[in-house]
Parts: sequence; structure tokens; C-alpha cells
Amino acid sequence: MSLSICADCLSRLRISHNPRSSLAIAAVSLTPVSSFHSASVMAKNNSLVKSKKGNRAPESKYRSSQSAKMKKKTRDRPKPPPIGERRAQRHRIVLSNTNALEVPSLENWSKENMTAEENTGRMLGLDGALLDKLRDCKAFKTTQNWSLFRRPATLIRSETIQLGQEIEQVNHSQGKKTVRHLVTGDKASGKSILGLQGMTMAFMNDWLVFNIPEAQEFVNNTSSYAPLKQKDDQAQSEQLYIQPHLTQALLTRALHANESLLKTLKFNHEFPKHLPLKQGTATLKDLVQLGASDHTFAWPAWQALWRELSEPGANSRPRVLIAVDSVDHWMGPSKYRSADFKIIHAHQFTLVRQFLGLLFAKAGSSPPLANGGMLLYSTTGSNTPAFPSFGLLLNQMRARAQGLDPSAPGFPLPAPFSKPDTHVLELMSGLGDVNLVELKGLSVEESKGYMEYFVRSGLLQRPLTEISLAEFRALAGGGVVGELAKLGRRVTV
Amino acid sequence: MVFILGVNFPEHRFIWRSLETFFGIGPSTRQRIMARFHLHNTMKVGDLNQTQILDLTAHLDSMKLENHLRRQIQQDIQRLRDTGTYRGRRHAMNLPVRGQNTRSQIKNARKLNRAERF
Repeated sequence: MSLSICADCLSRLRISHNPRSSLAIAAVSLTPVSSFHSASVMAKNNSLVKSKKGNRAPESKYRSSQSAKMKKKTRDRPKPPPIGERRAQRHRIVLSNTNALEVPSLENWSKENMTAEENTGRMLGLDGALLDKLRDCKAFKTTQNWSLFRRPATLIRSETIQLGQEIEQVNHSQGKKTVRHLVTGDKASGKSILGLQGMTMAFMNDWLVFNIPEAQEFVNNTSSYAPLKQKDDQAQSEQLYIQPHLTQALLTRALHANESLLKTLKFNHEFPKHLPLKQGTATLKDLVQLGASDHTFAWPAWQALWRELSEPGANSRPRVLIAVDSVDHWMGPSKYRSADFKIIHAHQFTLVRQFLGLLFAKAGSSPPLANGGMLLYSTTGSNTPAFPSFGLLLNQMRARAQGLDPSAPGFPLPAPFSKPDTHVLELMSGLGDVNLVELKGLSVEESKGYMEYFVRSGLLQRPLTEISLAEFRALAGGGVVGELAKLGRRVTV
Repeated sequence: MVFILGVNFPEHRFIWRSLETFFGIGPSTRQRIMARFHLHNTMKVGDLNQTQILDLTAHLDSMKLENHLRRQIQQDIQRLRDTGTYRGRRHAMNLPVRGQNTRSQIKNARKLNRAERF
């Protein structure tokens, strides 16, 4: 039996302060209108009408099972995509979109206008050969918005120009000048893009580029590792671990991105005998190729390559850029375990230790690169692990940048009775040469140039005025570039 | 197919998953075994080389697993019963062993607490 009122919303009960209208409402409210009521009077009527007309099938005397009447439907299972397809889809980098309007006056970014200050706040395009190299060294990321525009272009901001000037300084210096940068900033403030721009400029100047696009891979226990055999004199120090597949991946990126340059480089030092290379004719490209082709040779090949690049010899060496993204993951214990089930610290991995040793080189140590270069490491804003010791390290760098002496009373120190990470504390002795680049929001001029590019690509379909620009900048937390990009692509009706 | 401790595993299966199929290996033991042989978390059975398979099998051989472990549990219960302890008696009577109330919810105890348990 159906209830005469709806059990869910009690729709017959209407409270009205107007006594005259209450009667009229009561008359109407007998037939509730909405179809989802559990006790619909209309539905009840319908069933009556149907039974009168005799449309319903005659009821059988006995209950019979329903399943006999129902046909079994064969379910078509969609075939899963072939192995690797979905991962490829996930990692695919799309650099062009034919739906976007072409921006006619887009200049290319090249070696000539690399550091031209009048380009600040303008978008400059990236052209063919450079794109291939950047793609090969995995400089592009899926989180960036390259797929929105007709062709890839990047915003030249003041930090880019500064980076370019430093690259030129290294080019002109005769010595082994090495510039060290640690880029930090909020989420979406353009840290990875600055790394990409650094790599672009390095490729323009024929530098050798090594890129680590995701530092987290080294510590999250998803790649092979093995203890490094130590010599007798090192037996007292802690156990180190190598990561053959990650070394192989690093060499593969380096090989494809720098192939033409590596071909021209001859061996300076004693030929590594345990590696199957042709004596005499082999170049550094063969060495890198060997490591890239087989993970068992990757670590010795990397060691031999690094020796060639870091120790001066008869043949001159190119300048080197090393770019590492989301370096904070290297500042604490990893997810790996040793054979006796102790947690392995990130600094016990040889590559991590080597790259961090380059950035935080102790005062008085020998120059890390044979012919100078740049180290461009950046932190992550969206996937930050909680490593307070690294936070302290950054605070110390900020204090140093403000001219605070390490012995001054206000200088940040580990909290008393806390247990700071000793591995990270060791890095603090090498902070002297590291330059902290803190990325903030774009300036008004830069944001204008950036948003204009969205307008001219047909993404932002309203004219850009001073008021709307100010609005965008306010909504984007003071011109944080990633947030501006989100506002620029938003469809406004 | 890879043969580990008498069982064939397909190559695309994760090692952690294969190890946990053995009676007597749970997540904690599995993590320790994998760390012992420096196997990372996302490694598949097909990625193991021959020496690693042999090492792993030798290590698993040395552990008390599967029927050996089941038999030991059996023997422990048998011993309790033979020495006439309270726990042994409770096992023999198919009743809870650890002081639970027996008024209503002892279905599992009835099922599992047996002297002859399989």
C-alpha cells in the first residue's frame, strides 16, 4: 500500500501563514508533481488505468523465477590497449595544437637574442633542432601547457636574462668558472620552465647537457639498486649504492641530446679497459652509447665519462650544464632498504651524492668541471616531501643572501633537542658558492606579455586591458605564472 | 614462467605479489626478503636474473614455509594438548583459547581451534 504522503519530504504538509490561501493549496497538494516521490498519487492512478485496459500480462498463479525469462546478454568486453600504450599516453608530450591561432610576429629564440634585455616580458619561439634536443633530454613535462599553442614558445623573464648573462660570462671566462644555482619558489612559479630555459640556452651555446627531470625516481624504490663494492680503505665509511637503470636512463638522455657534440670528443685519459670499446678510434659518444645500451655497463661508463669531463687533459672539453628538478627528494631517507633492512639515506646513492657534491662543493675543493659550466637545480612546489633539515638549509641560504653572517645571533640554526639529518647538515659547509634563485610572481610587464600571447593565440577571448590584467594578477596570487596560465586558458562566456 | 620454490610464476607478475602467495610470507617478511636481495618494489618476476632466482629460492628453502609451517602449528597444538594445558584442552574442545566469552560469537573458534587442524 502506498502512503498518501511522501515519506521523504512530507510534501502534503505545507505551512502557510496566509489562512486564505491555505485551503487552495490543500486542494492542489493532493497530487504531487515531482516524479521522484515515493508515494505518488499519479503513479497509483496510472497503474489503475493500465489494469483497466488490460495491458498488463495476466498474473500467474504461482511465483516463477524471473531468470528464466531474462535473456543472458553476452557482454562485450573492450579489448585493453596493448602493453605500454597507456603509459605512453600518460607521458606523451604534445608541443603543437593546430586549433590554436598562429601568432604572426613570434620571433625565434636564438643565440643572438639570448640575452637581449628588450625581450623581457616577450614570448619567443623554440625552433626545430633545439626542440628535438630538449625533447630528448626530457626537458618538457606533461604538466606544462605546450599543447595549447600552435608552436612552442617561452616567456623571457628577468631571471631568464640573468641566467643567459651568466652563461655568456662562463663562455667568455678563460678559467673553470662554475655557476651554481638552486631555484626555489612556490608551486607553479616557473621553476621547471627556468630549468628548461637554462637547457635551451646551453644547447644554443653548444654545451653538454645532463638533465634529471625527476629526482624522486632516485629515492622511491622503483628502480634497481645494488651495493657498491668498496675498497679496503673505505671500509669504515658508510655503504654506497649504485642504480644501474637510472644511470642508463641518464646516459640515454645525454646521448640523444648531445650526440653531435659527443662525437667530436676524444678520450683524454687512460682508456677504461674493462669496457668493450674500440681502442684508439672510440669517442665519448661510443662510451655513452655503451652505457645507454646496457645497464650493466652504465655505472662504469658514467664513471669513465665523468672522469673525462671533470679532469683536464690534452683535448679541450665543452662546458657542461647539469639540471636537476625537484631536488628536495634527495634531502632525506629514501624508500630503499639495505640488506639488513635499514633505511638507506638518499645521499648513499652514488649519483645523488655526486650531483649534490657538485652543487654544495666544499670550499677549497678542486673545480668540478674541466672547463666550467653551470649547475641548475630546482626544488618542487607541488610534491614537496617534509624534510625540515632541507628547510633549514634553505633558510640559511636566504640569511646568507641577505648578508647575515653565520656567526650572527639571528642566523638560522637547528632547533635545540631536535634531530636534524646529519647528511643534510654536512651540505651546509658548502653553501658559500650556491646562489639561491627565488622565483616570485611575474612583474606587470611580464604578465602583460604573457597574457597577450594567450589573447593572440585565441585562447583568451576578451581584450586585455589594464583592469583585466590587474584582475588576472590578483587572482594569480600576484602574477604566479602557472596560475596566470590557468586563467588564460579558462573559457569565459 | 619463472620457477621459485616449486611454483611457476608468470613473468609479468610483481615479485612482492608472488612472494606473498606462499603460506608464511606476509608483507613484513616479504619486505625483508626483498631488501636482503636488493630487489626494488616494482620489480617483476621476469626481471630476475638466474643468480637472483637461485639466491631467492635458497633463502626461501631455508625458511619454514607452506607445509612445514602448517605442520609446526599442528605440532605446537598437539604439544599443548599432550601436556594437558588449559590451552590444549580448549583446542581439543573446539573452544576459544584466549579467554573469550563463549556465549555467542565463537564460530571461528569452533571452526579453527582443533587438535587436528588442516
